[in-house]
Amino acid sequence: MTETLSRAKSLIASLGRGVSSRLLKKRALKELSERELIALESTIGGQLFGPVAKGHRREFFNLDPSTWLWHEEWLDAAKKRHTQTIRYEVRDDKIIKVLPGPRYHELEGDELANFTLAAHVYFERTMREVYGRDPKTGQKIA
Amino acid sequence: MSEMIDNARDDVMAAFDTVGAFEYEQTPMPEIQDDTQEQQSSSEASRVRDIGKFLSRARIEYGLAA
Repeated sequence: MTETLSRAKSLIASLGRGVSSRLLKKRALKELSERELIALESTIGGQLFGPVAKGHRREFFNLDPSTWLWHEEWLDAAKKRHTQTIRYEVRDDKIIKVLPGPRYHELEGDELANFTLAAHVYFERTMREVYGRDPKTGQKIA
Repeated sequence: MSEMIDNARDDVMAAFDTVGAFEYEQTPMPEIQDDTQEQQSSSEASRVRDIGKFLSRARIEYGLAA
């Protein structure tokens, strides 16, 4: 994901000078794969849950209509890498949190409300900041 | 006799209060909460799924095919 993200960012940055930002974004997005678009979305998703501790890297993104992923990596004092990946499965009547093991846990109460809120904010921000669209109407943002 | 009846009535009322309190405490609130929880889960899942669908469409319409 890091390489993909770097490529997506460098692709945007490498487009010529003198091009309006709207066109820049349009050209950049046109050349990005779905995976790279998701990587861009994840730069926003990783910020939704507050500051990331120094030495940590956090990704949070929507993979498809029924899957969201949380991934966090960090090095401990001994420089040993730790990772935690949580998958959220959106089913017809519930959202299941899948932890390593796998262990399954149905989201309820505050955890469910917080996850739903995060998904809403993710949508609002990615529509505006990645796709340049009004999240309610889908119209281009001038 | 009257005093006996009064005492018996008091005992019955005390027993009723105890049973009433017990039944009140045993009111099946968890079942009601479960229903509410199920509705909330279903509703939230539906919203999150819709967001995922919008995002998938956005990647195609506004990203890949922009």
